[in-house]
Amino acid sequence: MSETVLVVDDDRVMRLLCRRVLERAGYVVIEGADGAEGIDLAMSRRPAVAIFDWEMPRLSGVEACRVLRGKPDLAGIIVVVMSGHDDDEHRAAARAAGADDYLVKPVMPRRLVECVGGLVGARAA
Amino acid sequence: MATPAPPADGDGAAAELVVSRRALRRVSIGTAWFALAVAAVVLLGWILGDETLKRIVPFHREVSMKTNTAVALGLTGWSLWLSQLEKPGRAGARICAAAVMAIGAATLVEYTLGVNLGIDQLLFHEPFGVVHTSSPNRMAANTAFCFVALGLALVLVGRRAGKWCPTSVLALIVAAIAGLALIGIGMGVTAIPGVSQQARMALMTAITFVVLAVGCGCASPDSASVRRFFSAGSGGLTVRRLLPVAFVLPVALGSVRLAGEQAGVFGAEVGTWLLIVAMIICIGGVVWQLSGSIERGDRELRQAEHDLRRAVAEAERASDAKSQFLSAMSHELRTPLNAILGFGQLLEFDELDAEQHESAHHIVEAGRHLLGLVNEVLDIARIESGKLTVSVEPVALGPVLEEVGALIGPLGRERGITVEIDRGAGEPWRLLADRQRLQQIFINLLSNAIKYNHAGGWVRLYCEPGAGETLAIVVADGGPGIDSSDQDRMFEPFERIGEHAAEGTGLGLALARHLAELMAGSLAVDSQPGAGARFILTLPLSVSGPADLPPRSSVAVAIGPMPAGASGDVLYVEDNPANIALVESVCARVPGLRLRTAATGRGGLDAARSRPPDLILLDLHLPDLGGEDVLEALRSRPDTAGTPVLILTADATFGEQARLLAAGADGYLTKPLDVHELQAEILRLLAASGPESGSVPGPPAPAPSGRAAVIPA
Repeated sequence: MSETVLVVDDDRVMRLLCRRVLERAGYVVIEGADGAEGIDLAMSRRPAVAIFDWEMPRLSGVEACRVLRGKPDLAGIIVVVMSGHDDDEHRAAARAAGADDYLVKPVMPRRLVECVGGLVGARAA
Repeated sequence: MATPAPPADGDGAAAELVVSRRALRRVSIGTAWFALAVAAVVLLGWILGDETLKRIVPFHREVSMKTNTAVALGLTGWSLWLSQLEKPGRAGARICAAAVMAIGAATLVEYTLGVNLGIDQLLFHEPFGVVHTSSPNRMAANTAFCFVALGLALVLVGRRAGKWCPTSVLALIVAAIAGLALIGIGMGVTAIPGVSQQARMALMTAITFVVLAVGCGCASPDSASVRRFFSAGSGGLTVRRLLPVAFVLPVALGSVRLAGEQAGVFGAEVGTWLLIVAMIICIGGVVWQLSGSIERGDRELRQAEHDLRRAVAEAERASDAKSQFLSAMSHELRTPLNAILGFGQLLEFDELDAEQHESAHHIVEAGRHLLGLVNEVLDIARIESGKLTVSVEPVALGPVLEEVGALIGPLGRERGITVEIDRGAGEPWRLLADRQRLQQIFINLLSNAIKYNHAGGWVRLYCEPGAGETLAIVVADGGPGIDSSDQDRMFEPFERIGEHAAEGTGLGLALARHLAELMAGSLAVDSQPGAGARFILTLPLSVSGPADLPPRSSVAVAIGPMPAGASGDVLYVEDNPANIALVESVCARVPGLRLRTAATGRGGLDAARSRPPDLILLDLHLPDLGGEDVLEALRSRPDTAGTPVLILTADATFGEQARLLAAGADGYLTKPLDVHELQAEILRLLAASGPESGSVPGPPAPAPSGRAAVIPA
């Protein structure tokens, strides 16, 4: 059975890119356009991995991650935060919010597949 | 001293002087011409036998200027003029000056020994008794002394003797002697030196001496006294205002008093009283007026300082704004780049015809270039705002160069350049550097050397021990070389040189030098056009550190630049924030690793009991308990007895290491920590602790098989 990956980004092009890349790698991809929608989808669809963009209207990716980590029944979901900020402060904040990994934009297709594959593989082992 | 005000000319008065050197030289030349003219007129008077011409000034009681005086004055003027020409005739000037000295000295010999050397009447004969001289046509003794001093001053013009400039000192002496004579002549006082009835300096001689002294002073513009006089500061202003007053006022007032007394207008007592009152009023007035000028200058200075401070603050604000703008800009540029690079790479992976594939490749390459530029702009902005930090640690050079070689190899092959990386012939060099930034510098230098090269050229990287505990890593190439005028410029941001200018970002070298300096090193270039270039990166060597530890398990080798994922809960018991920050950054590089920290031994034990971690990192020096006690307590409890413990400490002997391992520690690392060793140890212990608590997938291909193949490397 293919794992499901939730991609939450307010940028349609970014969602499309992640979908193309992840679908080629064999994942099922579902999309959300903001943090709140992302949380709803995470609760209803229970994806293996949820990828949140940091900068989003309504609820930022880091806040969404924190909300997700506050729900014990969703603890199994791997959370990845991505952002255009390539610095230690943002990395540390994402880690503090409970994210399993942090991706810096631009996210290269290979890096995205490695990241998701690595986390899924580690969780399954 | 009646210094003629030099003409203010517009060709740039020196910043600290109110007059330019050119103006001073013009003054010197002017005084030289004046002396020459006086000499010519007097000699003409002697030829024609005209007494008025011999005296120049038509005063009844005035003595005539002697022929030797006129000749020596002429020679002095000539010497001064020669020394101040655009192309100074130094030899001629010295000969004339020596002749002046000789005339003065010979006359002094005549006076002191009471002999007649026959020089006085050499040119013209003057009958005895015409005027009051000790011998016919002999110049006064003080005049002769002045000539010796002036001659010496002109022989030594342009020289300095330590702090003193001999020319200006001698000129001051001449001015003082001539000034004394002038005062005496002016006031009709005869019983003072220089004004004796036997040999008295002629009025015109004294005036010419003063003028020539000024000329000699101006001929040494670097002397302290001349600089002080013409200084643009308050000191210069004071001296220029007060000195003339100090010379002229007493003479003028004294003359008035003398004249009044002689005419019987008032007596000696009233005369003295009037003199004192007049002096007080005049000097007081001048000082008051001067203080106003100084106050005004001070106000202007304060205003200027205030303006400067404001300008500096403004510039800093602008610089901050620029850094913020660049940072925001770099961030915003990443989003569109995401689409360009992402979709571009997806296209490349698709089945396209050759032309389409090449187009997609160009899109991706341009995107990568733009991304490099964005990253470098961001780094430069961080450096300028002081936000770029490096984490310096002992770094083994060999593995870094191995990675660099693998990354740079394709570019060299593509350009047909032979790239040779000499890793130091088995020398296990360890540098104190930031590993990632070090790699960045090497990539930058090597890719530059490849790009700016001849077809079929070569690039070589090698190491040389530097001064002290440093290592010089040299990137040499056989390329076209760099013109010396470009060598400094190319380290400035956005400066590019040569025909491949469009290829680089123009930021790489600026960034590389900044990074080298941040790591307490330096980056220099040594090149000549046509002879290749050598870029020399100098960095401090690591003298201590875990270099002696045996090589780690094979896991360390498998950890590439992008670590494989592992998951687990890590507890770090440590009180030093710097070490915590380091371990945090290490764990952040391993996806799936969660780090908790405790600052004390008890806190660590509590944390371990409340939620048993998959791995404990333990510092030996804790504020409350010893690390060994914590280890013992952990091992004694069933829920933490099996948890792997990695000891991190700065100071421990091999004996202690063995004891700790016997007490149940699973690993041991010494500080300063090697990031890669630490990462490898963490992954090794997590993997060893079993699948129920943590895991490491088989490196280096973390993706499930079959999926990774979809995206070619």
